[in-house]
Amino acid sequence: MKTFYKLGFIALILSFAACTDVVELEVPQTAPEIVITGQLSNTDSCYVRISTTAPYFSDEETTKISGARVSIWQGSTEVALLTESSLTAGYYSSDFKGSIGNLYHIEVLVEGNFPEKTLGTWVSVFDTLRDCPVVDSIRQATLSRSTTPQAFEEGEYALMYFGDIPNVRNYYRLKRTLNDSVFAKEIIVFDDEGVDGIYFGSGIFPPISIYGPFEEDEMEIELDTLVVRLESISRDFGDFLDLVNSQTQVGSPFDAPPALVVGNIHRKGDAEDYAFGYFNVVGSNTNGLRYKP
Amino acid sequence: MRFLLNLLFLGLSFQAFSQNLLHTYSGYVRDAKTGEELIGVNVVIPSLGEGASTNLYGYYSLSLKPGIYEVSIQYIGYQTKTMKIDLNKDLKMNIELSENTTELDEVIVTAEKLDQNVSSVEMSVAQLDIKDVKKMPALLGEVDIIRSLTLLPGISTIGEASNGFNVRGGNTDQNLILLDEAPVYNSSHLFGFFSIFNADAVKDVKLYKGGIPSRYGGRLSSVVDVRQKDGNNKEFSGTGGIGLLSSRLLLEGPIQKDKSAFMIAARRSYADLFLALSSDPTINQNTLYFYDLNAKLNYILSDKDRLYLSGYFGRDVFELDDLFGFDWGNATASLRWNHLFSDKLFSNFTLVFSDYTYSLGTPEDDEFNFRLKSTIQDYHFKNQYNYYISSKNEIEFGIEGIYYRMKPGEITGSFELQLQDEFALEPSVYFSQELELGTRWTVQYGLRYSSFYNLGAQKVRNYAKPDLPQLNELIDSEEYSSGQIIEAYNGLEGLEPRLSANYRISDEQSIKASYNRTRQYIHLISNTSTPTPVDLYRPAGRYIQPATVNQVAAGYFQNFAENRYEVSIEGYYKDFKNIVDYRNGANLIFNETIETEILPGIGRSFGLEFYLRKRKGRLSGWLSYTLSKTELRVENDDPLLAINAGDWYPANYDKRHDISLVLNYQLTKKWDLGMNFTYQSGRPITPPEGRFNFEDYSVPVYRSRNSLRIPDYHRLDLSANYTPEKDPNKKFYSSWSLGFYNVYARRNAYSIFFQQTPQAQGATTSSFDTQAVQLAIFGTIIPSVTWNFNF
Repeated sequence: MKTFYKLGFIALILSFAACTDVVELEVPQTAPEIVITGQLSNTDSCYVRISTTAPYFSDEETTKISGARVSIWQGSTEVALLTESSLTAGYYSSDFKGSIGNLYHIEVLVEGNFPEKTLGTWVSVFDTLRDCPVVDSIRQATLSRSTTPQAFEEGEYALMYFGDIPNVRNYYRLKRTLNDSVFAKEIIVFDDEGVDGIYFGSGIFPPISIYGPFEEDEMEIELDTLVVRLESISRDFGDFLDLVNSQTQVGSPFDAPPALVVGNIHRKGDAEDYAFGYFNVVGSNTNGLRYKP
Repeated sequence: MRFLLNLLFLGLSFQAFSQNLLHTYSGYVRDAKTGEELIGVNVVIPSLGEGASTNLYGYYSLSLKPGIYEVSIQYIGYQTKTMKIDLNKDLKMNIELSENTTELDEVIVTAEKLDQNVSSVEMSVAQLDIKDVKKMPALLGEVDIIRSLTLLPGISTIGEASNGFNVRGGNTDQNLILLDEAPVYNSSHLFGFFSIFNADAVKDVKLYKGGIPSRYGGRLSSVVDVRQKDGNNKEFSGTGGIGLLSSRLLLEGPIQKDKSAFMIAARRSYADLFLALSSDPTINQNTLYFYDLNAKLNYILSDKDRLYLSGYFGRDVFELDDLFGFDWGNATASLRWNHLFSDKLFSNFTLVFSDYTYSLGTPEDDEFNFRLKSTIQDYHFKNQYNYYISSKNEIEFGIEGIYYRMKPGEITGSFELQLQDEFALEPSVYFSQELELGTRWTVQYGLRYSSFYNLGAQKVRNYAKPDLPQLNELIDSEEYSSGQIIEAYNGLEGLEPRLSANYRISDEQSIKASYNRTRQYIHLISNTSTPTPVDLYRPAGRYIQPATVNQVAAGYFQNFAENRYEVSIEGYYKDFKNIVDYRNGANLIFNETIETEILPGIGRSFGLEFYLRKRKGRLSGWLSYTLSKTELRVENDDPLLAINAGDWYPANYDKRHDISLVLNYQLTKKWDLGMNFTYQSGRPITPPEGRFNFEDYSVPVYRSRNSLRIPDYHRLDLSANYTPEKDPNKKFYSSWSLGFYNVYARRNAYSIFFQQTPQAQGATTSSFDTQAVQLAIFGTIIPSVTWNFNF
């Protein structure tokens, strides 16, 4: 909603010759802190990345934390121990997959010669692995403004057909991959408020347009492949993603005020000593489209 | 309440005493050409050194001993009228004043009494004459009353594109903006670039920063009382203009000569035409414009009765091609009846309806369409009395009731969804008395008592910790039926004492002091640097407390050289309670559990305001300087909820130094030149203290709220107004205004934001490089030309 508002504002100030300049600023720096991100799903291997925060204007890579003990817990039972990649420091993974309806969390033990604030045992908040609707199909269709106002340009679009799981509040995240490249810097989060149990692609609810129009040069690639992954996420993770979005997509007077982005990980036994990052537990489904010129 | 009754008794005692000895000299003062009632006209008996000012409806009343007096009626910009009256009985006299023809050596720049600055008990008041405002340089030539007010001490905005304004450390929602007594909830057009007030239709504007009279309530920091023109009841006339941004036309005239009149004014911008010139298809297919309509009827029913019906309707419209539409605006209607119960007892009955609505959505003929609409409506009843006991003793009292109906959100179209409507009632009663005690002291003391009732029908959620509602601690909910009280604020905390005192050291010097306590029962739910049109007010209730401020102010006032110059220095301190702040990442739009996003806080603001004004001569204008500091504090046991670890932090709109220089020079009879220069300390922003990587994002780590400042702001604007000599045989005449905004094209920072570099933002890169980017709203000089006409 505010996006449209921003659009109007930007249109207005462009007509008034607004301008932006990159400026040099000295900002305060704090000691490195731990950052833990990762995901457990019912369809893919689980992974965890562990690193530290860095000075804001530093061009250097953030410090990766190796040698940590990272485990997945189902309820009160440790069900998987993740192993660190020999190629990528601080990247831990396991073939373990979660099951719908179970509660999971991770536990991370950091020891060794790392910044003091990163040391110790860190845990994520329990989260339920939620059921995710099946993406029935991704279809290719020709759209134009006359038939679909949302289609700014006439061309070939990819449309997603799926039905929301009824009688439960669902939060979804959509990830797109084109020819094996994930769309970077993209957070698409939505929920089923007002459309509980609706099937997108029948009746008055059209399928969701997820890509298009295919570019001319793309059309020449016969094996152009679009893959969509739908994830059923927790409300908290949805809020976290929204916060990441609002804190990184900035540039107008109507931006949300700067906020500390804190996820669901904290020091074991001390919920107020938080780590940065988020360990998310998701149910997921994938479908794709091979473009046909 | 006993105190109130005692005061009333005191006033009535005076009345009983005085009635046996005094006669009343009363009436209305009007403009001879238009019949408009004039506000603040000085009716003086020089031999006694006594006098009275006309009230907001142009009425005056003086009680004097029997005798023959010379009366002088003085109003700046008008020819002084002197006459003899034989006051051997009560005398009612309506007086007409004629405008001065402007002389080069006597250019008048204010509508106040000449020594008002020193003699009045009022302090912390900002007032501008609309004629002066029209001469000042203006952005795109659009005369802007609110922007002009921000050039006075203690009043500021965050920047060019800011909805609303800040008064003495108050947030934008703490200003009560009244248009013919109807509250206006959004005073800006086009995202804050322009104000909603069409200067042609405005007769008078006054802003109270402190010492707020008891007749006003409901907001913490200021009252802006804007009065529309009543309409010319002598002859038909018109005013208009064609500018780069908008065109406007005002028509007024008698319905029945000397008895009734109308005024209608319309304005429409054409920013959308500029957008069409852009080569960018994402911009040139958009529509963005505003329009507004002011209308007023007035009818003199009898010597004792007068009726006013006035209204305002304004809209901003933004359409993103034919894909998406967005509009917002205010609508107000006021019906007022002035009645004289006696020459000494003036009354005003007012009924007001006010509406602020925004709506956004897709076109209705879309197969899948929706529209989100949100509204705040209120209905007011006011009944006010002014009792003129003597020229040195005036009582004002009244009652007021406001019924609020808020519709936070309703979605219609292909699917329907609605947040619960909210209802509230805010009754209040007030009293004040202004007394001259001897020759040096004037005091005005008063008391307002306000209460607030949050009403059903509504389903109210119960949380485990009512002081800190959290979504995951929701217990159950209670149903309240229509009109049932959900939460009542009707205790002693609703007492709002007001006190102002003036000690007149000499005819040219005085010391003033004031104290006021004000309460605010509705809060603007807004979490951006400047409010947006989609931000709405929500009432105090079970989880949102009313806010309160205590303000003390003191000042020294002096006029020089026969009131040609005036100087004032005022200091103030404000103490805020229960102001609203938000959790990190709060979601405020279409949120039915808004209480889980809100954090209560406190605030404090103190400052020193200096004001030097030259009122007469070829060169007129003012210099103002404000030194101030405004801090907020949000404490919480949960460190993630406490802002800045519970320490004080500067408010977004805190600006340490604020200087304005406004000059007007009458070059010749045809030409006058204007200049505004403004300098302000940079406002605070929050710098990142680090970053972490999440997926492809470099996420900033913010901890110390508002601990860095953007560069200082300064800007010079110039204007030249050309008014050809009027042909006495022609009614039509016109003038030209040329303007240059931001003359030296400074790129004043509106904000600095922190982001990944454009390279790092690319869809295929994994770079996390970051940068600080300064946003300036205007990076260049903005010229303007406007043709104004009258007939």
